[in-house]
Amino acid sequence: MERSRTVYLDHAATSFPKPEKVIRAVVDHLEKDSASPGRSAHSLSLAASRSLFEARETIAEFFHVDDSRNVIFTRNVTESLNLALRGILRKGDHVVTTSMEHNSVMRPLRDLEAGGVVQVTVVSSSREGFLDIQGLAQAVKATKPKLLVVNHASNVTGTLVDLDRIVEVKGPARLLVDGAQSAGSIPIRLDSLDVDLFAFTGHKALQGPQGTGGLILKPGGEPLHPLIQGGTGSHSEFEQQPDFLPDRLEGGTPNGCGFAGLAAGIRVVEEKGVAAIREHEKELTGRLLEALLAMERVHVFGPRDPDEQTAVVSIQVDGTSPSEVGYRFDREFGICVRTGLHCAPAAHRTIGTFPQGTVRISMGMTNTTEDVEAAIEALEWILSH
Amino acid sequence: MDSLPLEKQEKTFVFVLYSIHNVMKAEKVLKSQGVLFDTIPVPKDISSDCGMAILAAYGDRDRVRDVLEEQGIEIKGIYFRTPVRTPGRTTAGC
Repeated sequence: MERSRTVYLDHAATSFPKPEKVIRAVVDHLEKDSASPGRSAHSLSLAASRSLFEARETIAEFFHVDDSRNVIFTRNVTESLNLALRGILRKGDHVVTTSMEHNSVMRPLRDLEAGGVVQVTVVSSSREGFLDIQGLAQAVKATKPKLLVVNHASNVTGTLVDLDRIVEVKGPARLLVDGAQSAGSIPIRLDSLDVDLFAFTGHKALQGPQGTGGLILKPGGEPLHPLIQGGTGSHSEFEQQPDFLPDRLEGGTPNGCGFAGLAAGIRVVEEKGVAAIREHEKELTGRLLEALLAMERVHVFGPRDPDEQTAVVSIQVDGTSPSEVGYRFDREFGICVRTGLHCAPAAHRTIGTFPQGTVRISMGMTNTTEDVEAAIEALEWILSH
Repeated sequence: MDSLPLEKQEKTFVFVLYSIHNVMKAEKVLKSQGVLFDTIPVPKDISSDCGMAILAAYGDRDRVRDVLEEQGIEIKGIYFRTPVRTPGRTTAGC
């Protein structure tokens, strides 16, 4: 078969291509506003401060957060999760998490565990990636954790977790949600959810550039300890980090042009509407699942139901490895998918695909049914040649 | 009301807030309510902090305070400002 164009189906890693408005916003910032925000009194610094403030406000409004001071900027969701975990957990604390977590949760937790700081209980999920709510409730009762960490949507299978049900059983524990795969893909209102900390990244479904992410804090509760300390432009007469947000948790000059781009990305998502994007992605996922489930040598993992997952589909093909399939997708058809363990060995153990992993096909806002048909045709060709 | 630009007016008030974020928020809400203001470096005789402050007309003191308080923007201090000094000449020192 002839390769005619690139088809990008790796949106669960990074969305691509970025909207033109995002590219323009980044370039505009670099051309006009790229001084250090909050550091000086000159007009360019003020312009940079206003741009950063507007980005924070845009994010707060998008997630229905009253006070944008509670939106903490980070480089990505990994940093957000590290900030939350290391900022809250202290010696002797217990943490409950799930077997569908990404290494951005498991690695800091295993490190804290190895250092004798925390004890970790991992609640098993089903082979489809569904969380065992009863098991979670029992673990919470038995261990009285300080923190509960859950992946809102799996990056391996797309499996969605019902946050309302988790809130019902979490007790006094603080709840940290990894929204890497859900932010921008499914509607999220933090004003009606009892989530204490919501971690997101800018470079996936929110359409922003890489190097942008955030942690949204519910007001109140014990303040987080900063992951990074340094210059904030405020309280500079003191050698101690300021205690007010967002400065308390944001040391150093931020990624101003990146956050200008992220704000533009979120505005694009808002214009389309998250609910409409969700419907579009469900349609694409439904068509892909229908075709894949009809292929004899193809095994599909996860819920296999667009209502129960994001636009992420993991497969294995009998008689060949995920990496071989991914390589052929790319070289023979110009189709970009991701293969292997997706930085989530725990999730692959849960669904029974460790250590070889899967081929992950993940769709985004910009994909079309033609893109999905191209992937289906390519896989049919790979199976027969 | 004095028709001179704020920084040249004989009597003004300086609102010192807690962070640049709050100054930006104050700008947004004051602008949306049509209040005349300027954003200036915190005068060094008020605080050694290197942040920014909101400068408002003498007659707008209560209005600005009310608008900020309604929006949950904590005010660190309100300072009567006279005689006229040029904001640009105060060095931030940060």
